Amino acid sequence: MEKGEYRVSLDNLFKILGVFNLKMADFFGDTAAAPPAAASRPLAKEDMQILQMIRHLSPEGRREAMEFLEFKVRREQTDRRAVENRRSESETG
Amino acid sequence: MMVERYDRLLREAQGAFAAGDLQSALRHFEAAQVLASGDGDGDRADRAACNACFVLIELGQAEEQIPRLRRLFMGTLHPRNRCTAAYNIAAAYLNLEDFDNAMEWADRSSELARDIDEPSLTAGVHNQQASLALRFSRFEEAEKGFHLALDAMESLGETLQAANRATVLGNLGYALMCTERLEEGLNLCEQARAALDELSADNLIYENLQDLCYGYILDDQLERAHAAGERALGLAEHYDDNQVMKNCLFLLAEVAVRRGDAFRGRRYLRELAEFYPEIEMNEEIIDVFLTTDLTNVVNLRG
Repeated sequence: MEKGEYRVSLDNLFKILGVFNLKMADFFGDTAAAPPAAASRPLAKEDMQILQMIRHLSPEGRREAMEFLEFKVRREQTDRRAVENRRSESETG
Repeated sequence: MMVERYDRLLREAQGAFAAGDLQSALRHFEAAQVLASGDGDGDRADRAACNACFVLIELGQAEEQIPRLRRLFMGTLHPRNRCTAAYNIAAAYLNLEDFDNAMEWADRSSELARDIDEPSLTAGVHNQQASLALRFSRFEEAEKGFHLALDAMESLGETLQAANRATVLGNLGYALMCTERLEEGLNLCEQARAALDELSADNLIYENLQDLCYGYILDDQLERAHAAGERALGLAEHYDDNQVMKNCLFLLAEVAVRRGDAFRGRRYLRELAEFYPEIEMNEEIIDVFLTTDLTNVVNLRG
């Protein structure tokens, strides 16, 4: 490969995206933990600002930001599960 | 006497071609062919015929010209005519977006050009070969080719070649921007833009403006990128050049995203998506474009 990596035309890029019907999750890891409504809706301005900030980070900074976001997602998931458990216990008990 | 009339017809045809009057150029080339044939001068007749084929390619009749040019190529031993025929066959394949065949014939014309002392043809051949290399992302090969084209143009009259030279400079600028020589590349593209603006060559400038938009994005000069991209988009629309329109919409979306204007970015991308009705374009694909920096993934000449 010569200096300057191989690139594709915009047409081919669209074909690739169309064939694989790539999802956001394929680019940004597993988003299954997020609530379905938030994961499937188009990005809002606030989401864009977050992504903008991430794009300005160094690789190390990105890794740290990802770790923090994963921690937050896990934490909220655990909290949600705890709330649901308490709710179902009070309903049955 | 015939030679004088023939040369005059060729000059008039070239002038009409440069002015964008393709029908007039075609008439003059065909008249020159008839004149030379009538006089039994096969080489001059072939030369005029080759040029007429080139005009017809520009007029959208590329497919029909390939067998005609192949016959001209096989039927002559004249080095210049063989080279021109090969060059024009490559141009026809390029027009038909058959890039492998275009490259094969461009290589052939380049080999033939080595034995011909004709700077304008040599410059054209090198520019064609380098442009194809650029399309295949072979940036270093493209850079060498554009330099060879510029070297060949050195000996030519400035006014006749000004537009061609500016186009080659712009091409070279884009090749440099793709190989991490942004400042040098931008500088060449700006030189090309100044020359083409001076010539009012709107039909040639919009691809150059597209490249400038790309360069200014990389250089984080977003105002300039936006201005160049919008102007390129308008002109590409006027000249019905879908490829440049698509590239500009993609680049302008990136400018909008970098300015934090996701709404505008999405608007450009939805417009871009309309060029691909065969692809089920959902918001997720648009999000991929909005959230991923693809500027160094896409070859604008690809």
